[in-house]
Amino acid sequence: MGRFDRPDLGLGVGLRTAHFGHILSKKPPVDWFEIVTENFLDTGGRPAWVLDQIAERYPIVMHGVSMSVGSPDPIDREYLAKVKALAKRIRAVWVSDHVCWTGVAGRNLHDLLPMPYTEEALRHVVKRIRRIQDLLERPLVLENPSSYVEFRGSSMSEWEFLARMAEEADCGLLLDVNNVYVSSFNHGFDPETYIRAIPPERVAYVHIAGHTNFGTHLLDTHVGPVLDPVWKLYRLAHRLSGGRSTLLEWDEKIPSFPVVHREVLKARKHLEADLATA
Amino acid sequence: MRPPDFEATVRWFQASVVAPHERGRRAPAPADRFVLPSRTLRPEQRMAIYADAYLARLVEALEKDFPAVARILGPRAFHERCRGYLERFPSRSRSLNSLGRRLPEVLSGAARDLARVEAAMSDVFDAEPAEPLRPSDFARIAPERLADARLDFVPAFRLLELDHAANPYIDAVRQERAAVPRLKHVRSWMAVYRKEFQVRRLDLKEPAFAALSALQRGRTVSQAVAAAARSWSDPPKWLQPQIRRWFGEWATEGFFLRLKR
Repeated sequence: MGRFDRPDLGLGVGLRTAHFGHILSKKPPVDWFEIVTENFLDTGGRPAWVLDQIAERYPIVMHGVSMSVGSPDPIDREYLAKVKALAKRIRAVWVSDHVCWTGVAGRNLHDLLPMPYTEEALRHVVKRIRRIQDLLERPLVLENPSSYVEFRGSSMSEWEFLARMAEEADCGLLLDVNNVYVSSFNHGFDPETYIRAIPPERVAYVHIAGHTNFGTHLLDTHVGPVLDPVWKLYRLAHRLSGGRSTLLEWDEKIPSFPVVHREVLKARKHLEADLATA
Repeated sequence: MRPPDFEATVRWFQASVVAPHERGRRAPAPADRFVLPSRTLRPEQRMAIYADAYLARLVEALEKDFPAVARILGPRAFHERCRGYLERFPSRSRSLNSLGRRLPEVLSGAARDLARVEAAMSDVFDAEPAEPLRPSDFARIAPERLADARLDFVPAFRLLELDHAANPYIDAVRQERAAVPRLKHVRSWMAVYRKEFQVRRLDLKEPAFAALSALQRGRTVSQAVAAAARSWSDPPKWLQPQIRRWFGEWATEGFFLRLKR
């Protein structure tokens, strides 16, 4: 296997403000936490203090939403310096973000905007990832975002783009199986074909989450429990990769911490059931 | 026809996301030139998912930081003010923490005063931590030296002069009380600061504000006391003991970082 298969962190949960008090007081037996990087970059207040306490006890992975690796804008060195400093401070296991862009001409739309899957875009993003990894002095792990449009000009599938990008940029992948399912519904492709095309040795960890069905399309809302078709993809991804650290995201109508923790622990049951039927 | 290049595509995409919310903007090229239909949605309907989410997400972020402004304006007016604000001051930051810092500039009257307080609360929440001077530190400074001293404030401190008594209204909204008091139109003064990671608001009398304001401008303690005296309307003999009580309270609350060098 490659350098992205370790460490196996186990089953983790996205760290959210609503759970700060519970985590600090109860110290729940969760394997690891993932933070939204930007929530901790420009603050010297309570979030930074809480994070330092939690990082003393649990492994932390940093997951950004504004690196904008696909943007045509110049690389934001000041932002990357802050990311690098935070990663050092909390001894982050991985630094991850998304295969997307968040704005152009200096703007930030604060959304994970889709890439056209073309040779030109691939060359562009590979060059950027290599530069970003040089600046961060560590490998970058990039997630497949969910998307709601397909570009007329795309010349390859999303999974081909991701596989080539990871190889050519020598970066890791964060495989979000919920996003694969959401995009497969929205664009009408086979999600298992997608999962099978992702180079397993590049997958550093896996995301699971809930989504919302609007009839005409699915939205990646990170609300509610993980749905059955997503668990099915998760089991497939697990079989193909030989097992990876897994993280549950829950961002809307956030329930108590024990409810969120129980949801990610279901992953263990799914994998045991999968082994039993294999 | 040759497909649009990468940069043209993303520039078109961004323009299409923000165009429905920005009145002065020229309409971008139609969606079907860049985007494919799905089984259920036309290209423009697919783009609308992004365009709708853009404004909804940012208005939601502003509402989280400015609940009292949202309450006094009502949902429709708040949404429209936020739309106008984002058109004039689009986000250029990697985080949402500073999204609403200039919101007071597009508001007026009571909403502007509430926005100034809530923006100061966000600033103070995120400010760098610092170990303040404690009352015991002041006790060790000789009185004659203190009179000539200038004081630096901790980063998590803001001083506000307002046309409305904002505190009771903000308290009621943030405590999610069913009824909020009427916002009184009266000159008022407030310190917004952080103590033990909690953002606090302290109503000030005008002379106290004058003293703190003078200190913020780099005046000495004795000059700050003189500034307080100019707006002091009670008998003059009561001023000195009151000033001592105020300085004690301000030191206890951790307003001051150090003596200026």
